[in-house]
Amino acid sequence: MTDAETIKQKLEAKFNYLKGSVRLQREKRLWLETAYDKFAELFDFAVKELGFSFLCTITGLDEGENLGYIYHLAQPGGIVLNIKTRTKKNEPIKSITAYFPSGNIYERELVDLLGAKVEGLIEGLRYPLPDDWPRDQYPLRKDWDAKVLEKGSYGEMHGENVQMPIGPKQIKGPTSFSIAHKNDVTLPIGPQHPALKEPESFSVALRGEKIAGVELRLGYNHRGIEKGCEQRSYIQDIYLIERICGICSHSHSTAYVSAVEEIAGLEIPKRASYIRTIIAELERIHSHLLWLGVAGHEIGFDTLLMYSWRDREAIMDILAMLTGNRVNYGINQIGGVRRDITPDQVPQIIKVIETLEEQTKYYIQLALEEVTLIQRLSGVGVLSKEDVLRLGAVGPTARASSVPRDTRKDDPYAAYAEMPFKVITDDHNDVYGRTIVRLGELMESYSMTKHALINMPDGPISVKAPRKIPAGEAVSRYEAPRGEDVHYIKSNGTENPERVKVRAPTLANTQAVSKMLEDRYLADLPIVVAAIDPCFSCTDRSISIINLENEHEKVMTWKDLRDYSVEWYKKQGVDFSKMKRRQFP
Amino acid sequence: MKVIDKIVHWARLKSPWILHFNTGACNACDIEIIAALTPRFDVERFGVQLKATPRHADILVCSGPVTRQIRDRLIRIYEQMPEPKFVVAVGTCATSGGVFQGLYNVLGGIDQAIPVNAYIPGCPASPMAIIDGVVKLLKSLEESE
Repeated sequence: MTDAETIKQKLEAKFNYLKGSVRLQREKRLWLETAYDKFAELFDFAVKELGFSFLCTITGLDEGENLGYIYHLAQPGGIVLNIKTRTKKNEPIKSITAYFPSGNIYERELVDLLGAKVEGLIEGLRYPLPDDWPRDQYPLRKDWDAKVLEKGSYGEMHGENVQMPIGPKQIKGPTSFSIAHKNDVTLPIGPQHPALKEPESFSVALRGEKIAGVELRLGYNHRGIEKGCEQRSYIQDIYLIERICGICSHSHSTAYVSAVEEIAGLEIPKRASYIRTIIAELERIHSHLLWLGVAGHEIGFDTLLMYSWRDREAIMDILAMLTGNRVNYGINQIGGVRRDITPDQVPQIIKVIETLEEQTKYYIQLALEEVTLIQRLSGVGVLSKEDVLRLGAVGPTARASSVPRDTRKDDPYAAYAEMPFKVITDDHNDVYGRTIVRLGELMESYSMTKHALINMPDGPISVKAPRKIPAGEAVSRYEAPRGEDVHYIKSNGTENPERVKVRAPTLANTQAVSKMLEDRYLADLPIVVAAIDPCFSCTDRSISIINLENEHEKVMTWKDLRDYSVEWYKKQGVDFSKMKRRQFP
Repeated sequence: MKVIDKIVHWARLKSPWILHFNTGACNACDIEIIAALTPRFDVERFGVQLKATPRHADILVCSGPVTRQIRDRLIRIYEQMPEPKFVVAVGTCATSGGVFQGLYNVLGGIDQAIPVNAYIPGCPASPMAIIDGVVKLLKSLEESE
């Protein structure tokens, strides 16, 4: 009997009403439904007794009169328990942040996009919708009409229910970010900032040089892809989903097509799953080399940026050769892959990979011996093992704190069940550890790619997929370069999906960033943020909040600041008050 | 044209400083822009340098469709740049909205918010295309005088 069957029996033994209704859709996927009044007890049992210690995400569904919620819980062994429940649209649900602090983000998303009411949710900046988005418009509801956004009416809706921009100062409540002492300075960073490649905005409360609190506002990249997927067909969605993120585009599209294939009951040919694995590992190599360069840049080591990006071009050439595009490969299709790898390409790829192996050995030597690098990265952005487990960090961020959380091992997809590889972990718990983990993973990826290329079975590369996917639902998990990527797809028998839900790895890691920055120096912020390898175009959401005592605070506008400086200079004997401010046209 | 203007014009063409801003892109164009700055492609050959602040930049290189949240910030960054300023839209979605057209939080291409001088299509625009676009922009500036 498998572990999943044991869990099923335990659940049925404990809760009589579940008898016969716990569904084992496939290996490691358990589904069950419960009424909301019985949900709390069941959830508590699953977390405390059955060892479901990781919350993948929460999916919200619009079911007409009701709102449906699916809590996707995972075990270290890779079993996913999907607990479905529903309430009437105006009835609230209770927050689960007591069990999983990371759930805060997912609940916030339910509130903003679906209009769910969550009791006990920490107040904070909104996400992922814009600041001036009307509070009573929920885009993921089925009856929501995008017409309200047409010119004019969007402006007219700017009324009382709009939270206008911007800043943590507007947030009230005992647990929100606010200035603890009058001497604290709030420094806004972003959305455009030299240290950040993507638009995200941090409000950092500083006590001297130390960071006292961080509030993160994401959503600058929120485009509304989940809603867009519902309006497009399954095939169009592959290409839309691929463009969630240009760095892990293969991750998202593979997770998506795997879920659709599971619903449609398609068994993809072995060769196709090998090709997916090869592209996935090549993508990991290019992403980790990219990260190494960016990390070097953030600590002022630009030579490393130039070196690793030069090496990365070799991988980009291979990807262009195999798929036809440097980024956004478009190699996946439902039922297999679009392009085959020809025998004469194999030695070319292996040759490049062997060159890169040599280069990476040099980087590893550099990381282990270069004193400036070690001193700059050690002890920066510390995240203990307990915090990883509590905050639900994923990917190299988790593995650098000795948590061997790797979906490729726990819950194998594509051809990973047949791949020999080690899960690289490290016990440094800091940015240095994350560097070591990523470099180690590069070596694993090289050997895995070579293994897959040599042992790739012959045969077809795709099977025919129906245009209409039968009704059903599936959850697929994928180990993207940044960590676990979760997709939930619900189909209704038509050409378009009913609901597509994406949880990108950076979203799971944002909570950890705030923890890492706590009480650290401001100068460490760029490298700490870069160390999770953030990908905010995947994430497009917010939010993380740090507790500070709520004291009196004062917002200084531009005018206040000017008056203050004029007064200050007056005391020094200089009078600037007659000086005019330059007028902009 | 005065001699000083000639010198300024010459300097401007030989060292166009750029500011990169992601207005809601999927990151693909952004990494291609960075790739254009690194050794294989190296736009620094043309004097192009990536600057950290809009106040130092001559050319604003935007990638991605304009999202509702970023629109005001984009305009603000554009207004901070000194005259004369130029905008390059990199990628299909910066040009027209591309694959994201019709999504509720997307307004469309960069030209929905600020005036654009050069469009570089491609999903993502390859570093070669980006260099070509920048060089064409510089050429048109040279001819305009």
